[in-house]
Amino acid sequence: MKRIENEMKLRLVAKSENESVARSAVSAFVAVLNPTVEELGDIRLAVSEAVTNAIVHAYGGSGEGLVYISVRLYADREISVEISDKGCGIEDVERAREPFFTTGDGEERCGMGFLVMQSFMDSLSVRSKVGRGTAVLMRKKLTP
Amino acid sequence: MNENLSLSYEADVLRVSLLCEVDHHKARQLREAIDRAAFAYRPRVLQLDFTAVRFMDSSGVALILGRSALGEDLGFCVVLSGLAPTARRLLRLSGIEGRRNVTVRP
Ligand SMILES: Nc1ncnc2c1ncn2[C@@H]1O[C@H](COP(=O)(O)OP(=O)(O)OP(=O)(O)O)[C@@H](O)[C@H]1O
Ligand SMILES: [Mg+2]
Repeated sequence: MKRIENEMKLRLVAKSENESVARSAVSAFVAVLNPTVEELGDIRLAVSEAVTNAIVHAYGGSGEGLVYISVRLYADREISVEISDKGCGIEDVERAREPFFTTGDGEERCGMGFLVMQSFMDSLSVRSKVGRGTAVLMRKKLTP
Repeated sequence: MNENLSLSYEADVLRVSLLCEVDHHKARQLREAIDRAAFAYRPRVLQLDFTAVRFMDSSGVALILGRSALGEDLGFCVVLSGLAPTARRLLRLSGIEGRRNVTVRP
């Protein structure tokens, strides 16, 4: 196991105004590692996608429920961000991860969230159980 | 007045400067304000200027795609300007630049 240098846990009510709170909190926490502007932008974007998914899909935009964010900084400048919810879950994760797949037709969505997380971070894994919730784990190694 | 954007119209060009972070939280207000102006002015060009935008995610991509679709109905094209590097990479990933009525200006 790699040594954890620092860790932050955050719990936010699933309200859309907390999307920017989540981005800002994670980026402030990660900033101690002096990431590049580009790296910080990538992380903010990935966090926004995952938190928005929890708010919009997991809890159906109800504004109720909690979004859990856990950020870890490792000694080798790798960071991990886990964003989870106790919402509706995803029936077919593989299908949900396909680029441009979306179930959100009421509001304008383009099915890019998972694609963005995958492209702007180094890795993405998604665990989900219908009726229980979803957890996405993303990792990124910062340049020295 | 709307603190999220500023609008101006001149010579068939409806220019919308976005002034807030473009995420899911702001997308609906932005969409409604832009569409209201598009229906009122019937422009030939809708210019969306992102110079003051410090953050945009896939909700912004959906916003642009939706305005592009509206432009096909109402007969305007969409010009994007002032995009930051991360937003440009996001748009490249979306393939939005391949749409007939969307132009990305440097
Ligand atoms: N936390 C979640 N809980 C339940 N369903 C989810 C969750 N995250 C994603 N999904 C499902 O996976 C689909 C794809 O998600 P993705 O973020 O890629 O696209 P989107 O949210 O539909 O659109 P966009 O992110 O571009 O606005 C969603 O439409 C939804 O059905
Ligand atoms: Mg999404």
